[in-house]
Order: sequence, then structure tokens, then C-alpha cells
Amino acid sequence: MLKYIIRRVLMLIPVMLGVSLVVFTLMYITPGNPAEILLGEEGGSKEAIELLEEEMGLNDPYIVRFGRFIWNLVSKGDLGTCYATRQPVSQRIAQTFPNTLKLAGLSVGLAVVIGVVLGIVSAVKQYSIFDNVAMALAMLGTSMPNFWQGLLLMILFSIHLQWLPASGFSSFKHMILPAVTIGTSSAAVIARMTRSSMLEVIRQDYISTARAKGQSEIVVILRHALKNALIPIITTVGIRFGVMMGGAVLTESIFAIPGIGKMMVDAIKARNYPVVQGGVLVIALAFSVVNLIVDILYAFADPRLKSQYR
Amino acid sequence: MSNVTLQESSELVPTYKKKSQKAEVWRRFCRNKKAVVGLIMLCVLIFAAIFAQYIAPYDPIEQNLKNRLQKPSVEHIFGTDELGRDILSRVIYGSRISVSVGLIAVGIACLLGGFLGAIAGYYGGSLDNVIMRFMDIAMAIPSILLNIAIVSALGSGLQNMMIAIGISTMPRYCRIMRSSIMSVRDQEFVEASKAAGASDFFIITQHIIPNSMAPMIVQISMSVGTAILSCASLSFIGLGIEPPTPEWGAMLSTGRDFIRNSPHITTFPGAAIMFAIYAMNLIGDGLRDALDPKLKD
Amino acid sequence: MKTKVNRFITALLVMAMFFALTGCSGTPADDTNEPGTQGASTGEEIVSSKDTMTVAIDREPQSMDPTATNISITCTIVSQIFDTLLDFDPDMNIIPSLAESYEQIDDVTYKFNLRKGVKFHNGEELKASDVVFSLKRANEKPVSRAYTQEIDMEGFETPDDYTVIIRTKEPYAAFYQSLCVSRLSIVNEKATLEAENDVNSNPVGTGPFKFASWTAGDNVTIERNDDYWGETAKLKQVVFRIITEQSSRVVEIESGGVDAALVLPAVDYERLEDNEDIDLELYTSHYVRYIAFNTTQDSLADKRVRQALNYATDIDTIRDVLYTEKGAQKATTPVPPGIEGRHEDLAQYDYNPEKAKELLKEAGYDNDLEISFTYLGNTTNTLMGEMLQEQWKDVGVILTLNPLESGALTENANNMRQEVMPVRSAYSIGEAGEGLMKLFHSSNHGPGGSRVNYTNPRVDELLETAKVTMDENERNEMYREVQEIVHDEALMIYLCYEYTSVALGSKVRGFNPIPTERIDYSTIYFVE
Repeated sequence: MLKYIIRRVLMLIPVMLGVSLVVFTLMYITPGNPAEILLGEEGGSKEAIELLEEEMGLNDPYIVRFGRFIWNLVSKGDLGTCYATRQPVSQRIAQTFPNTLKLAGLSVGLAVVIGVVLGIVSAVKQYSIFDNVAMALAMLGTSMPNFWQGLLLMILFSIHLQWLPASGFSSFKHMILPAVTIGTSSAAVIARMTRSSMLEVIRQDYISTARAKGQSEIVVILRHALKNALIPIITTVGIRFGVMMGGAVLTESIFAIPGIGKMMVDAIKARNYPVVQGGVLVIALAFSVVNLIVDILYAFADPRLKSQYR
Repeated sequence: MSNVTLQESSELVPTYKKKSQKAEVWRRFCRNKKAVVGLIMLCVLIFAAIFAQYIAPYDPIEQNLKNRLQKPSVEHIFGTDELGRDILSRVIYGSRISVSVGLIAVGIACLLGGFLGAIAGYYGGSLDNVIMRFMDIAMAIPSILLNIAIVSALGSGLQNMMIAIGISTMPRYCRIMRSSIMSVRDQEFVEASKAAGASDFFIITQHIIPNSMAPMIVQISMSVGTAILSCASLSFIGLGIEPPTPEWGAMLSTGRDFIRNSPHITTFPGAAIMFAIYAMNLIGDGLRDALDPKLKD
Repeated sequence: MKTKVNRFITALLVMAMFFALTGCSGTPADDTNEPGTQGASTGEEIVSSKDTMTVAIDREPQSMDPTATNISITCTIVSQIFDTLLDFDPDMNIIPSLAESYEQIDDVTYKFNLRKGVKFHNGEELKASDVVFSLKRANEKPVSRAYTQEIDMEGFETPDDYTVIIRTKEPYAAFYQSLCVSRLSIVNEKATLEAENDVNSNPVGTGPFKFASWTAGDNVTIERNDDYWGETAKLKQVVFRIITEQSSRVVEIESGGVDAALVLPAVDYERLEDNEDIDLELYTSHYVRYIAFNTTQDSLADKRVRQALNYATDIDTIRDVLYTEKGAQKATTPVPPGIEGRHEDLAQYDYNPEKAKELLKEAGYDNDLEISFTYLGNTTNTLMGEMLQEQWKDVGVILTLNPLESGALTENANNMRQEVMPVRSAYSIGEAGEGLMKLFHSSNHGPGGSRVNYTNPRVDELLETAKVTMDENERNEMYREVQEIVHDEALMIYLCYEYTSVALGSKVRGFNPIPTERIDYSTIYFVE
């Protein structure tokens, strides 16, 4: 198992290098000049632009710039300095990433609670009205564009009902609306997965055996069935959580959350290369680590799989 | 080897089996009421897209500034937008863009991803390793950021948007194709074909792909919806398609500035997006059930 | 709710007693015709103990370094932390700030007497050397440089710690105004030298507020400077929250989540005005919005084509749709109202499609002129483009819309590749010459210019002469001539002078905006 983990971690290195190269190249060929953008919509003079370009090191050739980025990263652990705020990129990530993690945790948690409960009940009462209605509702959440849903929630809960603050991310209350916005769009997928996975398990012999032994239905469902249906659910949840590592760009914009997604979009728009580079690297790393954890969790959920991890 | 033997070898067992399988899948699909509803919804959409100019009551880009932001009425069933254009007509015409984005973007992803996945899965070894590490890289970059970066690099517009969405969803197809190919690769009919001297290309296209289609089909039906959502997201960020082409995502994101006073201009394009995605999800679910023999009762 | 009512009644009783006892009619605390007090100030109000204000701003500030600021929100924040030698009052008169008094000695020499005992936020006292250091530093920084160009960097003199002599390279009519821009704020020499690369996290100024924190993407917080040399601020803390989505800013002010929201969509003005809990302030700012014709492009080099497009545009309708009648003023010249040297007798080209067609025919076009409209892809610009497209179609001009995101847009425009483009230009020192120079002088093609990229020796000459002409009337005459030429040449379609919008909670008082789009937060306070 340990060997497996080490191998996976080692494999991350080329992937991360590849991610850096791809993003660097993509940004390099994208038209636009960070110096010009930083000088605002009224624009600076030619002289001002040249001065800034020099300061940002934009006059160096492609390979020198990429080399410098990698060298600084490897030798000093330095991701560079944000063009806009002049803070180290690592500091900007340290400010935004925790918010993204919190949002990811909350929204995926919410999605799991809704999804798993709906999924189990739907599976147990397959083809009932509840099954149909629950699945239909869950799917509505997935079909709704997030920014629209967010705005509607905001208008309802902040203006009309005045229950929750509209935007920001400073307290738990602030986190409810964004978590609901994102959570509802994942809930359906999880519900669907739980349902089909449960359906498969419920038909197995050992469930009938458990029932025959006279165990109560709830015990049968939760202890025997759910436990064995867990793997596909973990996969789905893991993927959702992994995807959330990149932040929820639109939701973060609408709710003015200083998360990594919004930071990245702003940075791409402003051609803030160091932030784009550093940000993508961290996101990709987080995504890969989440994947790794999910794979390890499999082993615990299903001991039969353990032998495969070598 | 002559062509005749190749032809024969492909007709060995699978064709017969394929046909009956298709019929069985279709029968099971039709028994699923929700899936049928989804299919009908999709037909409505495609119908609207094809016959937009006959159904739409007004010209979708003709402005009437005296009639701005009208609430729904008999004349304009969905009301009018911020430039006095008929929202119903725009929603109807918008189906063209959404349907084509859905199909073409997913088509790009599916062909490209499927092709790479097929090669990786069939040949294995270092080629597989290279392709899959590349897919790991593409997967590790969040798709919305990849979309934004690609559209920024290529410039906005319908075509580039479809390419961007296609590329960012490609890795998923690649993986699915690869794993299903790997499971089919060693089966008897492939061995038989190989023994008969069929070329790799022939074996891949004639035997392996048709037999590993099921998971791809499910993925396709699911990602059409995702593509439409990505399209709306890009509009939100200001990288959507050129106005005044009516597109649901663009209508929704322009409308958000008017949402407090005239909610109706976001309601209808928003509902249209939901309608399309809902339809694709129902179909996707139905297909998955129909294609999964384990769920047969 | 109940306690609020009780407190209000108590307040009324107290007031009534006060009037009865003193027998005099109550003078409202601030009846100096401040926009912030309209409607609500019918009696004496009780100052609230609330001393933290949250303001929703529309974008991330560029920097906390005053030399790097050229968008209004950054200037506003920086000007709370720093002071300049001179300053504008809300009517754009020049008033002393760090310079207590000042005089012009000869054509190019000015003497400034600094205020004594002014303390920087790090405890250091303001000295003449700080002033010289600040101006020299500004001259080396890309953004602020434009405002120090006229200053002779070798000509500083500091006879004592509280006197600075500044020389200009040649006579410069708008010298005092140029010293009021936040880019030329006075920084502390010692602190700045110690942390040159770190000014963003520790800006040290003399202003009424001290910098507290900046969390990128979230907020900038400033705190009261209790040792301020002038009147200390009434608020203890101001939090500028970055909310980039305009609909979210509107929701925030409507739900009471913030005390003020800047830059609001015009569609919401009416509803915000009807809301009793909100005061909507619309005030003139010194900037103009226009649709610029890039005269270096073949099709647009012809004056007749530019005039035709002016005649083909029903700009009044476009303005009303985009900014509503409340949100903007009709524009007739590139110089906004309230600025010395503005030509008051020009009129917009009228909407006359027939004449447009004639002119186009004269220029050799027969329904076959194709032009592209390049713009930043946001709602306002998109709608503008869609309306222009429809209107110009009537005279046989095909307009293609080319929305870009900011990066591609600036690159495009700086390389003069665009044809027609919506632009906003600010007159940051409230003087006609500075703005006109940027817009129409041939040296300002491409980066930083007006996007019309116009060349006319006569205009160049007028602008250069005006700049060194100290006589106001002569100067204004020249500015007027420039505006006449530009008008006849139809270099742009004047869109509007947009009002700057600020929505305030109804309990906010003491709001004094300056037309350069700066807001002084030190005078703001809350009432019960």
C-alpha cells in the first residue's frame, strides 16, 4: 500500500511539470500584455508600458521565462510575485485557497447528505412516487445554471426574507447560500449514483439473508446494503470534490467570495502570468491529491481491492 | 489477405449479436417512461432548431426600443428584452446555437478523445503511457479555466467556444474509450479477427469500437448538457458568442443586470437551458439503465 | 424593532426639550447643501455611535502605492491614506493641503510653505525632503510620470524643513491642478526606502486614515488616524469590499449588507430612489463617454464618412437605453461641464439618416461600407453595439460586433487595429488642456490616447501653446478652437457625460464627492 502511494506521488511530478508547461504556453500565445492591462482602461503612455514590461520581465524569450519559473520554484519554492498586488503568489493562494476548501467541503457535504438520503430512499422505494419526484427534483438542481440560481437565491433570502447575508465569506451564515447553490448541482449526480448502486446491492443474497435473520429494515439498509454500495458513491463524491479544488468560478463571482476560482479568472483576464501559473499548479496538485485519497479510500471501503494496490 | 476474407471475418459473430442487442436496448429504453419523456423533449428542441424561422413569431434580432422590457403579454408571450426584442423568438432561435454547441462540442470531444483512447487502449505500453499522462495533465486543469484560457487565446466566437469546450471534455472520453477497449481487446472475436490477418485499424473500427460504445453513449448524452452549461458560463465571463445572435447563455447573462426589475428576461432563457439539460439527463439515465444488463429485471 | 422605535421617540423627546430650553430654531448640523442630507435632514439628527462603514466597490484596487493609481477606486482609497500638497474642494477650487500656503515667484518657480507638525503614520514628521523625494519618485514610476513631466527634477530647493521650491521646465498653466492628483501624494521617505517593494502592504502617508489590511479579492480596510493634522475622521474604520458583480452590489445595498455601493447599473436607479432605506446620489464627474473613430483606418480617414456615421446615429435613444434619463447628460463636446475652457455653444450632430446616406454616397460608398465595432464584452457595450448595428443598417452600413476581453482589447487598441470603439476619458485634474492633449495631440496615438489617433498640426500647435499660456482667457480661447475643429472633423460620436452613482444607506451623512470621482470618507458619519 505504502509503495503504491509513493509511486503515485512520484508520478505527480511529471504531471505537474506538464501542467505548468501547457498553461505557460497557452498564456504565452494568448494575445494581451499584462503591462497594458495593469495601466487601466484609459491606458498608459508608451513609455509607461515599456517601463512596466521591463519590470515584469516580459522582454525575455519564452524559454527563459519558463525556465526562470521552474528554477525559482524548484530552488527556492518561489512561485513569483503577483503583478497586481505585488504580493508573493504563494500568499495570494494562501488567502484564497482556504475559502475554496471551505466552500468545497460545505457544498459537497450538503450534496452528500441530500444525495445519499434521496438515493437510499429512492432505491428502497423503487418506482414509487417518492422515487420519481425526488429524482426529478434532484435533477432540476443540476440543470440550472449556477450564476442564475445564485442570484435568485440571493434575491429571495437576502432581500425578500432577509434571512441571510447576500455576499461575502466571513461567517458560516455567509457560506450557506453559495454552498446550497453548488451543492444542489452535485446532489442529483450523487443521488443517482447512490440509487443505482443500492439497487444493485439490495438484490444480493446476503441482504436477503440479513432480512431473513430478522434484522430490522433500517439496519439491513444502512449496515449491510449501504456499506457495500459505498464504492461508486465515494468515486462520485471524490470527483466532485476534486473538481471543486479549482473553485467555483461563477458562484464565487456572484457571491463575491475570495476563492481561488475567481482569482484565477481575474488573473487570466489580466494576463497576470505568475498568479495563473502558481494557481493552476496548486489546483492541479490538490486535484491529484484528492484523487489519490479517493483511491486509498476504496481500499478501506472494500478490502477485496486492497490486494490491487501494490 | 484479400478484402473478401476481411469482410467475412467482420461478419462472424458480433453483427448478429449487435442487432439483437440494439433491439433489446431500445425496448428497455422505451419501457422507461422518464427516458421517453426526455426523448420527446429533445425532439421538441431539435424541431424548434430546424424550423425556427417558421415557428418564431418575430425576427429575433429586430429591435423595438419603444417596447423595451415588456412583461409577458398576448402579443409577446415571453415578453420583450432590454432592446424590445421578442424573447420567445429569441429562445426559439437560441435552440439552434445550443443544439449545435451541444452536438459539435461533444462531437469534437468524442472523436478526439475516443480516437486517442482507442489507440492508448489497443496498443498499450509506452504509447498508452504518454497519452494517458497527457490526459492526466488535461484533467488536472479545471475545465472552466481551460475553457477560458483557450477562448482567450483563440478569441471569442461560436466556433472557438465549441473547440474549447470540446478540448476540455476530451480526457473523459479518452479514459472511457481506453478502459472499454482494454476489456474488449482480449475477447475471442478480436483474437479471431487478428488471426485472420485483419489490420489494426480495421479491428479497432469494426470490432472494438462498436462493442465498447455503451459507456460512450451514456457519457455523450450526459455531456451535451454540460456543454450547454459551459457555454452559458463563458457568456457570463464575457467570452460568449458574437451578439446579436440569440444564445440562451448570453441572454441569461445579459439579463442578470435587469433581474431586479424585469425578472422575466432571465426566466425564459434560463428555463430553456434547464429544459435542454433536463432532457439530456433523462435520456442519459434511460440509456444507462437500458445498456446496463445488471439492472435488467 | 421595538427598541429602535423607542430610541427614536427618546431622541425626539430630547430634541423637543432642547429646543424648548434654548428657544432657538435648530440649525441642521450640515445644511450646506450636501447631497448626502437631502430629504432626510428635516430636523436635528442624532449622531450614531456606529463608526464602521462598509462600502461595496466594483473592482480590485491596483495598488496601495499612490504613484501606481489611475482608476478612480484606487485613487479614492489611496487619497484617504495619503495627502497631496494641494487639493480640490467639492467645487474643484484649489485649497491648501500639506502646503499651508503657496506662491508663484516667477513664470516657472513656485514656493510652498509646508504645514508644521504633520505626522506620518509611522510617527515621522513631514519635512521638505519628503516632498522632494515623493516627486522624484513619482517621476520614475510608469503611471505617475505623466504628471511630473513638467517639473524640473534638478530645480528643487529646500531652504528649510518646511519650505519647498519647485520649478517647472517651462511655464505650465495647470501646475497647481496637477499637484492635486493622488499620484503625486507625499510619501514618507524613510518608510518608502525601507520597503520599496512592499509599499502595498505598508503604505505610510499623512492622510486621515491609516492602511489596515488588503485581502486581495475580498476587501481593503482603513482605520482612523487619530493624529491627523486636519479634522480627524468621524468614522473609525472603512471597509471597502470588492464585489465585482454589479447585480450583487445592488442586492447588497438593498439588503442592507453594505452602507454604500459604488458604480451601479442605471436600470436600477429608479428602484433605488424609491427605496426609503437608500439615498441614491448621482453627481457629475469629469469624464466623457464617446464612440471613437480610429482615423488611421482607411474607411474612417474620410471626414464625410465620420460625419455620416454621426448623422446615422440616434444617440439620444441609445443614451436613454443605456444610462436612462436620470443617469447621464447629453454630450456636445469632449470636455465635460464644469471644466474651465469648455465650449458651451456646440451641438450634437442631429439624427438625420438621409443626410448620412448622401454623405456616404459622396464618399463613394453604396451600401457597401463594412465597419467593425470593437469593445470590452460587457452588457452596456453589447447593447450599444447592437443598437448601432441596427441604426447604421438603415443607412447601408454593415457593422460587425467584435467583443473582446480586456487583455485582447488593450492590445488591439494600443496597436491601433480597431475601427470603432466605445471609450471613456477622464479629466483627472479638472482642466481642459490636460484632457484634450491626451485625446487629440498627435503624439498620443496608440497607448494612453483617445483611440481616435488624430493628426492635425493646427490642433497640436494650439494645444502646445495653450499649455504654456498663463492667461486664462487666451488659453480658453485656444481650447475652444480645438473643440470646434474636432467637432467639425467628427472624430467621435459624443455619447454622454455619465453621472457617477453611489447608493448610500439612508443613515449616512456628510457625503461630499469631488468631481474627479474621489470621495472624502473623513467627513462621513452615521445618524440614528
